[in-house]
Formats: sequence, C-alpha cells, structure tokens
Amino acid sequence: MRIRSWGILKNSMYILFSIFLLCNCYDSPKKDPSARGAANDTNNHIPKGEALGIKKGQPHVYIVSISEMTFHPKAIKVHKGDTIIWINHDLVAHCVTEVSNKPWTSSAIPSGRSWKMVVIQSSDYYCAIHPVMKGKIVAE
Amino acid sequence: MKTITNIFSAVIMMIALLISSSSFGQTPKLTDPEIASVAVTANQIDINYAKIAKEKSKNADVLKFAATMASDHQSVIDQAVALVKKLGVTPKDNEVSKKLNADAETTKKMLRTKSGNTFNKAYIHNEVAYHKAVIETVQNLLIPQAQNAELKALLEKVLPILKAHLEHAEMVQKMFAK
Repeated sequence: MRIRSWGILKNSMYILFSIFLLCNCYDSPKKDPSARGAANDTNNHIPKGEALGIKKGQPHVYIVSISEMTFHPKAIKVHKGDTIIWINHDLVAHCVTEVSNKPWTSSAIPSGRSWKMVVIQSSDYYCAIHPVMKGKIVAE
Repeated sequence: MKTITNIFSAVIMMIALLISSSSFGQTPKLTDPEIASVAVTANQIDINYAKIAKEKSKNADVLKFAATMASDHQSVIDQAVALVKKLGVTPKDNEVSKKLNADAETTKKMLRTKSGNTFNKAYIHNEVAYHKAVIETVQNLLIPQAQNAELKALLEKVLPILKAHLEHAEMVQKMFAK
C-alpha cells in the first residue's frame, strides 16, 4: 500500500514537472519591430503599441500609423521619454496637434512622410486638418 | 432655411438619380477611362466650390474646411492623374461626368448669389449633400465597375477621405444650426 502510494506520488510529480517544463519552453509572442502600432482600440483597453529597438531601461520607440483617416492605434500607452513616430499612409496630408491649448503640433505631414515626438506628458490630440480624427497618448 | 434644405435635398436626389435606373434608363456602364474622368471631375467640382468659399466667406471654420477640401481633392486628382498616366489611359468624358458638371454650374450660380452667413450656410449644406452623393457614386457605381485593380484600389482609398469630409462638413453645419 505504501509502495503503491509512493508510485502514484512519483507519477504525479513527473506530470507536474512536465507541465512546468512545457510552460517554460513556450515562448511568448515576440514584438515584430516592423509591425505597425496595435489596432486594438477600445475605451477599456489601451494597447502598449509596438516598441522598436527594445533594450531594457532605454526609452522605446512606438509607431502610430495614419491610414483610412484614422490613427492606429487611437490610444497608446507609453512611458515619459519614449518616442512616438506617426507615419502617414493616406493620400492626403495630416497633422498631429495637441487638443487643449495646442502646446505642440507636427504641422502638416505629407502623404508618405512621418513625424516623431518624445513624449513628456499624457495628451489628447487630433488632426487639425481633419478635426474628426482624434487620438490619445497615455504617459505613465 | 427650409428652402435651402429643399434645394440641397433636390441636389442629392438629382445626383443619386445618376446611378438609378430612372435617369439613364438603366445604371450607367462605365469603362475605366470613364471612371477616371468621373473621379477627376467630382474632385475638381469640390475644389471649385472651395474657391468660391475662399472668395466669399469670412468665417474661420468655413475657410478652414474649404482649404482642406481644396488641398485634399487636389491630392486625389494628382494621384488619379499619376495612375492614368502609368496605365496609359486617357480619362474619357461621359454622361455621368457631364451631368456632374452641369449640376455643379447650377450650384455655383446659386452660391454666387449669396453672401455673409446665408452663403456660409448654403456652402456647407451643399458640401454635406455633395459628399453624400459622391460617396454613394464611388461606393455603388465606380468601385464595383472599375476593372483595373490599381484604379479600384485608388477609389477604395479615396472613400474614407470622402467620409471624413462628410463628417467634418456635418460638424461645421451643426455650428450654424445653433
């Protein structure tokens, strides 16, 4: 009886150890440096965006793609000191302008061009050329 | 105000009829050179409306909207011209582009008779009506009938621009409704 219990216990430990190994061998999805910003735009969830040149402790670079008259992602969460690059994939010029008091603006970003900014604070922004286009930066 | 609304409802109806069976007996069948011509004509018409707004309006929101229309529609024309050049296609005048031009002449005459806030309201009402009609035409006539993949892709890329213009026009229109 004692020997049988030990056998069951030993088998259980093997199973648990195998599960542990499987969990650690599974590699979490890697961020694709060439990918555009995540397009998961909801009010409840603010995506982190796709970081470029990731090195621990260094500021990250995020991309916001402008296409189909929309910022993708519409809201992005970054750290202060990180850089955001807005890339205009539309046929028409856009801009990125802070909503309240307009302390910063990109001026016009022609089709196919980009503009970057180091984030120092959270901001709501919009395209002053097409005021229906709105975006948000949450700086942690 | 009611008269203006009626006029623009009539404009929408007239342009919408372009793609209905009652205007031409049946839905017009367009070739790619004809589709290119309609696309360039429709954009040029809105640039011309914007020029009138620039001459006649003093309202900052109207002037800003008109500047965006002039710049965006010129960008679309530039892309369309570059594409037809690449494809070796010459835009061909047709019943739809002729009707668009004829209706635009009537609208321009009407806009030129107005001034001040009456002009602003008339211009922005027309922009709402015109963009609704053009969206309808691009969506239900030009995109489905375009044969060349690049031409179809360009029209599909233009559609969100027109929709954003409509939303912008409606936003300015609301300011005048206050």
